[in-house]
Amino acid sequence: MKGVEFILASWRSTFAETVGQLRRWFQLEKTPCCTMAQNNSSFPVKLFIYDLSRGMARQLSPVMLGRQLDGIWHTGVVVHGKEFFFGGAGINRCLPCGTILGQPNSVVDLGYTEVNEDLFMEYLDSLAESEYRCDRYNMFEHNCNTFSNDVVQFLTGKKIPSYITDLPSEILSTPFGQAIRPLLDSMAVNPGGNDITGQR
Amino acid sequence: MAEQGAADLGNNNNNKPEASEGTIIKVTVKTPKDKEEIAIAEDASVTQFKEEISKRFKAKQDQLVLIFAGKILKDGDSLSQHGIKDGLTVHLVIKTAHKAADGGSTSASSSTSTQAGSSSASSPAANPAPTTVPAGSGQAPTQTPNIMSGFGDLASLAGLGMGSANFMELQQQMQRQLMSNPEMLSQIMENPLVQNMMSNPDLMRQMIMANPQMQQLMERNPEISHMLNNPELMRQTMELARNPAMMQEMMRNQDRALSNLESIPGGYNALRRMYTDIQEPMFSAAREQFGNNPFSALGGNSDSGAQPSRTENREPLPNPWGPPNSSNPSESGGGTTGSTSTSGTTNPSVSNPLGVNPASLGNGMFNSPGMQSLLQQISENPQLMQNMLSAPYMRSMMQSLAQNPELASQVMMNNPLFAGNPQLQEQFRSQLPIFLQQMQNPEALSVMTNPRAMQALMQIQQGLQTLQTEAPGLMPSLMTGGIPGVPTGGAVPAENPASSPSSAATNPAQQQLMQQMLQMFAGGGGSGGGNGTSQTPEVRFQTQLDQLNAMGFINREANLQALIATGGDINAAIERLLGSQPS
Repeated sequence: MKGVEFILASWRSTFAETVGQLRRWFQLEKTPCCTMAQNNSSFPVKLFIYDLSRGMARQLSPVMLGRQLDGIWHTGVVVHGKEFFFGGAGINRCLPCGTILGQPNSVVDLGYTEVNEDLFMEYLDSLAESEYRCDRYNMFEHNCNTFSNDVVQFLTGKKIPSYITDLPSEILSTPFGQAIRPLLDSMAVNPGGNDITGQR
Repeated sequence: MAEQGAADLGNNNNNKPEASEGTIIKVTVKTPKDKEEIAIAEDASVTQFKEEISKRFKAKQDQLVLIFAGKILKDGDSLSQHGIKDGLTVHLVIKTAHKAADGGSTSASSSTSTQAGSSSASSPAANPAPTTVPAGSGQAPTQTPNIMSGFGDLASLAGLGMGSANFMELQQQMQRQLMSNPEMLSQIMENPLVQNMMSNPDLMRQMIMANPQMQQLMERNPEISHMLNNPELMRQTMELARNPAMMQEMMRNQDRALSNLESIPGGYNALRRMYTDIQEPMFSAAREQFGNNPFSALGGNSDSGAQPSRTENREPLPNPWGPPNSSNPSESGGGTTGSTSTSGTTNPSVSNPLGVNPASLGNGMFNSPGMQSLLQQISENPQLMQNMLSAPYMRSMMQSLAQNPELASQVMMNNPLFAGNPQLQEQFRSQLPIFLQQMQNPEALSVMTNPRAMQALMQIQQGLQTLQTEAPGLMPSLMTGGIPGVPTGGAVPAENPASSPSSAATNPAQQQLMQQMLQMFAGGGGSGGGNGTSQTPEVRFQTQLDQLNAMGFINREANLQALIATGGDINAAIERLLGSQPS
């Protein structure tokens, strides 16, 4: 029974990725993922926000944590037609909406950047060797949202919305959060995608 | 230049001709690896700023790229032009050799791996649209583990421990493990169970369609449903799942093929026709070839698929997935859409086109040591169960289970707990619809996912058994002691992790325990003491049935159902019957 469920889940994710590619080939770009206008020097930057709990946090957080959390937020930065995020395997990139998380809960438009793709990739490579190596991942202190915040500041000078970056401290301020902290410290969110430096 | 004397206003007119105002501002310059504070005149130019930076960071000026507020600072600009003031942060990227003059740059941010990174980055730069081939090839390796991530669970979960409570993350970790161990992948693929699953495109398609996201996508893009209906594509995908070495090539072929599809107006219709033509022969061929390489069967069959479909072979083929000790009956009759007959074999039915006998699925899956350890893991950590249950696809899985009670019953029947007790199986089967309904009931679900509730239930069962041993005369109908089962709250309640160590030995007591459990759930927590003998419901409830008959409830079937649901409690059964009767 569980096996069937595993297969189902894995096929879901497989086909979600395949379908993502297909949508691109068929140029069926009706989602926020793929409508990226680009001119020579100005590239739009968007922040994709996902709720890892798929709505469970909104329902269960008052009970479990004692305070209302609308979601467990995971973010990815979408620029130059790709989505970049930091997970347990380091900095990853994929096609927008190309992780198993699917479509984002919300998209924040962060304006434009002049940083072209080459420069951005160099920047990310540097990050991947220093601040954002795979072993630097910490679910509370140094997670995907930390990365998104840094990258977005680099690209645009702005920060990501504070309700995202405040999430770890909100959780840790509850007794439940403190209790599960050791567990969460050992976890890592890794929605997939490709490692940016080709390493794992 | 005395940039070290940042606070010393008197030094500011050394090399800064415009520094007549004398305001030094401290600007933080941040690289990916480093952060430095640089003092510079407020109205300095970017060039001068870069001079300072190159000294501090020991890099050449033309390697420096400064970014502030999303803008690249050009040499001719001035800092104030960009609004760079005291205390603000400017980002710095030190470019690597291929843009700079010399190759061996000593800057902190460049290294050999950057070379590799930028070479792959330059090709996307050349291609303004999202990259196809590089991204495709980059993604391709992850697709293999995606497909097999579930099976990676089996093999490696035991070693992984509670690496992740989120089921999706668990999957991803499995993927990584799988990636790092290609042997595992080939082992998994060799599992005939896997091959059978994969060789059933309709089953795959069903599962895929059950995903609401997919449904959304398919609504928006009907081409995708055509893609799913394309057996060629399915076969290719399955093949390339087997052979990671082929993966990239197949992906590229797929790319090209699909873009061709787009341009052929009648292409989709042709594909659909082909699928229908291929469908039946493929199914029967796949089943025939069980044990051999089903992919060769598919491959061989697809060649013949181009021919007109052969006459439909209505005769049910031997079921390769039948229980190991059952022979393969070759009964004829019943079309490919006929309903199932015996419990041993499962003929193809509408909802189960390949006639996959889920019993054997369960068999194969449950008996693997990986699955045992998985169950053990779950028992040790109810959190995992909870999260597993709350995963979104769980709902769709349970819904499809509810819609296909036969599938569910087959799976449950095969559970080792039930294997030795046909009466229990029957009883369970009759209870199944009720049980599945309960599964859908969010309250029941929340009970099951609540570890404390689970523990309470465990305690109840323990208490019952203690009571039974202590005072056997008091509750003669209670079963003999066994390890109390932990109700896992999974889609199949019979997945009894705590009993997994003893699952190999079919303990009748355990079965009866499960029976009790089911009654409790089905009855919404009715009397826990219920009847625990191993007789058929009719026999067990004979007394109650008679009583109900005497009271005027003449619908024996309904009576029986009610009694089963309430565990023999007459009053509750009466209420149930009254509640269901139009009054």
